[in-house]
Amino acid sequence: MKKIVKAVSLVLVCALMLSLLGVSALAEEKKTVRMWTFLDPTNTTNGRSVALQQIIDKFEAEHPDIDIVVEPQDWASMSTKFFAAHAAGNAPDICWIIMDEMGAALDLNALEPLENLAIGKWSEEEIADIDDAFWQFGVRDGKHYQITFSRNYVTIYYRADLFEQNGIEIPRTWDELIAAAQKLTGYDEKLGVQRYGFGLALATEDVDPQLMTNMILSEQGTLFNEDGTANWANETGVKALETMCKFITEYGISPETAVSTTGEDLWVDFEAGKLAMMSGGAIRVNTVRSNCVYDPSAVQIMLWPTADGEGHAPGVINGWCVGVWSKSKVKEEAGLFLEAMVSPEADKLWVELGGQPAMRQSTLENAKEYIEKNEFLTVISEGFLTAGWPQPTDFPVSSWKNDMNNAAQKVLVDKMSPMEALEAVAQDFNMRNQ
Amino acid sequence: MLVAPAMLLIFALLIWPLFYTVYCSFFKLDYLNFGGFVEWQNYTRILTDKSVYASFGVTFIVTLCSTGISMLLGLVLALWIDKRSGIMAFGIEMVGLLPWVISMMVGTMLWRWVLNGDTSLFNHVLRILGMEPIQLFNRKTEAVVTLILVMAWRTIGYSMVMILAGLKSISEALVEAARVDGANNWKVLTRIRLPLIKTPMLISAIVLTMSNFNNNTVPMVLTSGGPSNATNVITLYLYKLSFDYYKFGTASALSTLLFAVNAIMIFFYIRMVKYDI
Repeated sequence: MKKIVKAVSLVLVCALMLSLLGVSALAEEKKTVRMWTFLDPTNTTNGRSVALQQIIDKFEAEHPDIDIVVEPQDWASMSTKFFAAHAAGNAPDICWIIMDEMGAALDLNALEPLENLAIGKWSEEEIADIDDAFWQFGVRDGKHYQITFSRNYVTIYYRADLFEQNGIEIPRTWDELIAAAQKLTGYDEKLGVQRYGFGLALATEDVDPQLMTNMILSEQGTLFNEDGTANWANETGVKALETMCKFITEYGISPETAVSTTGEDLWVDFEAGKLAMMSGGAIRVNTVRSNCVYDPSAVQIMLWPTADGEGHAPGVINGWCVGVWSKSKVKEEAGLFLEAMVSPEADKLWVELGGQPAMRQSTLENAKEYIEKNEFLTVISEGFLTAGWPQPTDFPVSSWKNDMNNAAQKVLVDKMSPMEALEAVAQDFNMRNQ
Repeated sequence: MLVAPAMLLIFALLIWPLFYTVYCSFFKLDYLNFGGFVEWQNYTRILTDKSVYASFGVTFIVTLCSTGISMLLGLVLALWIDKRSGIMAFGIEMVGLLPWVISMMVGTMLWRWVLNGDTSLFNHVLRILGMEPIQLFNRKTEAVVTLILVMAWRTIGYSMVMILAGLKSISEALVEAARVDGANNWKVLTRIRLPLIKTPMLISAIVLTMSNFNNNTVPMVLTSGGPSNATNVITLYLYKLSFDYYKFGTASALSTLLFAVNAIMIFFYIRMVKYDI
């Protein structure tokens, strides 16, 4: 009996060892590339997720030795988690980093220069195809570290149907914007909701830049001094803050609840017909269209007005900087997948399925029909070209959007004077970021 | 020897991170990048920051009020259920415990939808009653009171069940003996029941105080610390310091101070549980 037990044990041990050897041999053959993104490829209702899944499927079919594993993350904390994982030595091979934090990623040496990866072998023509302000974003010592996906432009969303019904033209000046918003404020009989002309999200978490940012940018071109300190506690800042607060207190075109409204609340209100206009990232047009309770084609975007009606006030450009982790053990494979995500075929998918602006010049031609049908993509492109403001990467600027909103809260809730409020938040910003 | 694996786990998951946080608190650690030893600078920065004191103040108010309300209502409900049996008592226990067992995030989101905004359910009801809508999250006092009530709502079930367990363990013979001696309901409650459930009540109070003191989810989801930092409790301040401002060195210093406050509470907790003071 003992002999039988021994023999069986021996066979089991051998089998286990063989299987372990087999597994490790297989693992050696197949390499896994981990990617963190806010997109979940299993989500079949989100166009960008569908596009990503198709890109992965194609890539894996072409590279049977590489497995792409997407680990979906919460967008708001993903960049911070990446920094923590980088410090701990277990970051994903590819990460999507929000543009605001790209400077920090570079300071931490968390990303591999693309020149060392597959993209480094691209011809001049290929580079020229993606060479724009986004490609030049975050360049250090002549090296590129990221490709910007989900390119975004924070601009004005509006209900074209309401504009048409009320005979309102696209506002060219701030005064026209206010007048249009006043005209559109009232009770919406059809939807049975109180509608406000212009929505503001003035909470201090999860917000996009609000109107006062664009007013300041329009006047002085930037929000920061050359040494990275805040440059908003001045006459321009006061005027912008006062005007924004008057949207609630004087013109009545924004609800009082704006003080506690987050970016997400704003989207929900706009989709529910409670707002005629709002500011938000242009990338979400398709999502808003699919969620809104009115005619989806009414959801349109426009560029920011100016004080005198000349040109457009700058809008904050944003996006997700996708790069390869500098300590990845599969840099080469990760670089190949990054290249695949920006290939001409992939870019067409991002545009047509995901509704995002093209990353390549050639896609403007390849997806011409789709782009022409979707006017908002043309508006975004115009914004990128004529009135886009990328946040600086030479110094840390974390949470400036929250600071702006904090100033508004100090005026609206604490009844501080605009200058006092701006000085207080500028001091906070400087203390944190210097 | 047998406890070695458990001790090892405790060391790895609790003791080591604690000492590592203390270590980090002496460094400039912006964006998790070690930028040099800064001695007590992070502590000085925390202790000279007025907003830290304001946050501690709000935290103590919210913690004490929400725990007090929770304990009081928990006691009332437990006494009421103790006298009842059957499906009614079971149902109330279930409903009472629900806020404690459901995700904090989900529960708080529901309250946010119910209370926040011009067209919230709360304001809709006010309008039906012919009253003016109230913007609870736009005014400092109202926002703090709302936060206290939501935090109390979350924990009433817990205190109710703990106190009920204490009440169930009281021998009926004691109550009967008191009644024979002429004690009325009030005397039975104050002389027999309450003294005998002192321990579960103390344990609940301490557990809830610590839970509310360290709660980050409810304030974050409900008010995000606003309006104008009125509900910026200390854990939220700590969260912002780390994940909005990326000042992990300063955040580590604040964490260490928070740990000290928690340690004091734990000290009292152990004394109460062990020595039943």
